[in-house]
Amino acid sequence: MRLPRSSRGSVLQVQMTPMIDVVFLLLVFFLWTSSFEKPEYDLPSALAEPPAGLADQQETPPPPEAFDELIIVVRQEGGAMEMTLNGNPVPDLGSLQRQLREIVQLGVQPPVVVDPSPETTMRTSIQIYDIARSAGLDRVLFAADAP
Amino acid sequence: MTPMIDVVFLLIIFFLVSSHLARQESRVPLDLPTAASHLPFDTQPATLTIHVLATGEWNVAGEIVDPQRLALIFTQQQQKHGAGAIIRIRTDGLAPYRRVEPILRAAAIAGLANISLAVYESTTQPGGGR
Repeated sequence: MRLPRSSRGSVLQVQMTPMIDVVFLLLVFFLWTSSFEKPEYDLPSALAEPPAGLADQQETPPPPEAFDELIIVVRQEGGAMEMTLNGNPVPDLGSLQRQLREIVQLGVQPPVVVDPSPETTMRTSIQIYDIARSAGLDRVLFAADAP
Repeated sequence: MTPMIDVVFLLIIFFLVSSHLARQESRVPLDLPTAASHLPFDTQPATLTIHVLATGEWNVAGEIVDPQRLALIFTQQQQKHGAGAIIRIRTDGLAPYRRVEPILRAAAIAGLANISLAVYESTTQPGGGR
């Protein structure tokens, strides 16, 4: 590269062009290597078929035995959401989490079946699935109707 | 002239690269649900990824599939990779559960047990505090 007017003028002349070259090069390099996508994580999922009494949600489920199996039925219609834990209504997500934590603190690990109604959004379903997993329960399953 | 040509070349390369990257965005954009209890980041690629759009359609490898086709795909995956094949379901947060349930059931029928749901990391604790 021919240096412009290096023979005369000030000795302390800052050469901008090479710096800009390098800066552009770095900019291109980092744009090339970076990714603008949010990282996606995996949530392990498993499936359980519900007992016959719960396949139809209009029927009242049979009274479950203590800590045999926890069944969380979620029904979402429009914006409203109803939850029942083994047949007992749960007002909100916070109390569901508290109840599940209390169960875990008793030292038992019952399997949990999350049974969302067909119209429940996946956001809500996964939120409840996540609450059960976060409470320390290790067997959390989604329910599916038998074909 | 030389510095100007340098910069112009760099700009050309920059725009080429950025347009190339823009074309690479072949991924289905979905607003995934969030969860806190996800597994640590895993670089192992899934054998099969199923996208569930907000409208409820299933998208496998760029094509919209119906339940029969999905059952066939699952059977093929099972024969090719065995029961350990990783099925990844990317579902939009607004998709109803009735559109995801048949996928879970079809995978279970085909003998594929390793199903994972793609989620974003949630910033808050589930249930809104302890």
